[in-house]
Amino acid sequence: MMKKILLACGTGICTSTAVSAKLQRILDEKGLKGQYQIAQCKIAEVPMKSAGFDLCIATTQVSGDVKCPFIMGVAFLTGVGLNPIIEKILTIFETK
Amino acid sequence: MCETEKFFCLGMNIKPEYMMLNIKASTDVEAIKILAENFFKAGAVKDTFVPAILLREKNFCTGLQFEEAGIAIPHTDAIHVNYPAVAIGKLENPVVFQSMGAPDTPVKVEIMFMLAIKEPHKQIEFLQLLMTKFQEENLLRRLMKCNTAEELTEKFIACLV
Repeated sequence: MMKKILLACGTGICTSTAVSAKLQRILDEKGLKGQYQIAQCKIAEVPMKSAGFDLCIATTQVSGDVKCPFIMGVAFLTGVGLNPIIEKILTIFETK
Repeated sequence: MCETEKFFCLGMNIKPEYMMLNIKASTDVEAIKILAENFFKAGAVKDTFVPAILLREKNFCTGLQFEEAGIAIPHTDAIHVNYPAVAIGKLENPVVFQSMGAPDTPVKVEIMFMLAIKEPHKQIEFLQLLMTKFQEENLLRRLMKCNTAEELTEKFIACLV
């Protein structure tokens, strides 16, 4: 089933764009191409938009309610501590 | 990949006059202010850029701890930008910034990459490449070894292509 992923950062353009590129590459490598949709937004929009998504990955903290599973994605930028984050993301794909 | 113009690459202006090599600052605010004011004097950004970027750093810190070094990528909204550009500031001594997404985690920053983004969809390639490149072994160290603005500009552009 298509998984919807919301990527968020302060302005909705800079770091979320960088995460998007890396995330897509990793998911495709894992054979998940075509099984996900990615949207980007500003961090302030997350409480409002997150209800329709299976996962939210952000490069900064959210103040307010996130209505879906949430993962901090700074590791996508630095490469430091990325593997456990990838594992967490893959479990989302395992659930229905 | 790179356009034929010497200081223009992937939609970004990368000129020696934006670069500063021995920034003396004891706080992140000072460091950002010095580089941003230079950026404004060089014409890439508006006068509103300086207060905007300082405010943004306060709300959304941009310190990032890579394996090789701590960096910061301060940036702010396109409305304060005249044309897309990158300024690089090497700090004389490491300055503590807060970590992106973890405001109580300090990062000792040695080099700042100040981004003036004008049209995000046009600069996507640059942003994505930049984040990938930072993880490349030795890249940050090589940039930090540069001694002149020209050298830093050349090496930075060279690593993007």
